Amino acid sequence: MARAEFQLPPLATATDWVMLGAVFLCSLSFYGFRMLEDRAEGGLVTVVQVGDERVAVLPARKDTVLVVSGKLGEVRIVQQAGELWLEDAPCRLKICERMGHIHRSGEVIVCAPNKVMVRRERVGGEREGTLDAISR
Amino acid sequence: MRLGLILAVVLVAVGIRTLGGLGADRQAGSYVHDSFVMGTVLNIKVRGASRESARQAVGVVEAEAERLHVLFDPHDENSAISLLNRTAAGGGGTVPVGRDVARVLAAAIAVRNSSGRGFDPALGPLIDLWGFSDESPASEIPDTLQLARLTAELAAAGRIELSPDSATVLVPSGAGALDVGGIAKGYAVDRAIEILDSLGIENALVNLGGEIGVLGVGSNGRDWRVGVQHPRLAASHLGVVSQREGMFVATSGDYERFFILDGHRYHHILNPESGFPASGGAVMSTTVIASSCLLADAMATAAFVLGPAGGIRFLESQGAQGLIVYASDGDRENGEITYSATSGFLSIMQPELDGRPIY
Repeated sequence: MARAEFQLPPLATATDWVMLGAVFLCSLSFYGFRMLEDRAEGGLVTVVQVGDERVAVLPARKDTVLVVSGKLGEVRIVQQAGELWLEDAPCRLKICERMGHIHRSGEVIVCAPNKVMVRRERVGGEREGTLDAISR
Repeated sequence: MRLGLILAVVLVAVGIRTLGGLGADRQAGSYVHDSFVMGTVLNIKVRGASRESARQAVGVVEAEAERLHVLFDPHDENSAISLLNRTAAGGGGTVPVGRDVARVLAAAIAVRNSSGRGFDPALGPLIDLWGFSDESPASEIPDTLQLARLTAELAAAGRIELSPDSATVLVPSGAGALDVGGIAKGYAVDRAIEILDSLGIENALVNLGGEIGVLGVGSNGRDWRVGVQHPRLAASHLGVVSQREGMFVATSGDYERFFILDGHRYHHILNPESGFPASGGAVMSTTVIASSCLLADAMATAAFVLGPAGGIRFLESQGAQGLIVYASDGDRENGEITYSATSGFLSIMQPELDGRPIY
């Protein structure tokens, strides 16, 4: 009488392990990038929001000029030497330009008619002493 | 293959979560959301609630703010305020109002009466004449004869009053058009806090264009930290308020809506007596802490108009705390900045500039 023999399929094939390794390396590189960014920039980022959508997140110390389109038209977001401000806003009252330069976490510049907002935030949670809001 | 797939999915999720640190709910146990409502930004921070319950609660608050915006917009012909203003222009009458309009008008009338006209909610025609409404930016002084005539007419007109049961508003003929957009934002903050509380949110901060209410505590179980805007250094604050539940903070200043002509600053906070921007005591800003944001907002405007001495007396008489920042030498552009505060204010606010104590 022949004995029935069978073998369980392997839990993971060679292809699985290759795929797993690739995903692991990707995750590791993302995490490493975040750690390096946090160390280099203090984790401080600039968040750009138009309407209800976050359209850009960039390191706070990166000198750049960003032009975004709001409800009324284009506005220039300038980031230089750690400072951040708005230029050439299409709104009439120019309150956003009068808000001047910001640099710390928790600070925000708003162009309400154009529905554009830029905010400084700290990645990974705020440090002790950061403001939760500003009454103005 | 199955184990490989499961592990892959887990690792991808970990990777996405790592990248997701830049999303709306970056901090562990906190949810932060910004949206544009009532002509400004509504910033809500919720701590210690699940993301889903926080998201749902914030959605309810946003919908409420949108509803209030329509209700109080004087330029929307379907709004409750428009109806009252048309009644005033059309010979006056009695107009039934809902709970929200009644609450806002009750507070406005109370502050108007107690401040000796430091605050008047019916200055719509003057604000339009100066061009401080959103539609037409101000850049020059209106015709002075027209300004004087309009100011006198508003002063002579009967005052809008609320019936004792708050169900109707008595609108005299010729009463000035109501413009309660500012204090309506304060009311929206009050409603937001009420809603979040009723939905079981324990720790939250609501910031609508700089008018702020809180529930519970902020990070690390401490009071919420709210900076007070420096009136001349745009990116600086001149103190930090330790804000607790039941305290509402509002600030009025001459630094957002203004124009400068021949070295003189003309801003949007008008003195009901003169029709001109309030200039007594060279006040630059007032910050008030009160039991509701609606009251804090109206009282901040009144204290600004009344000046450093009168404003502090008024705030003390109302049981509110406040700070009035002004130029000690009367030069609001280049003068020395100083302040007066109610007796309890400096126990709530730590004076500092750019993170360093002032004294």
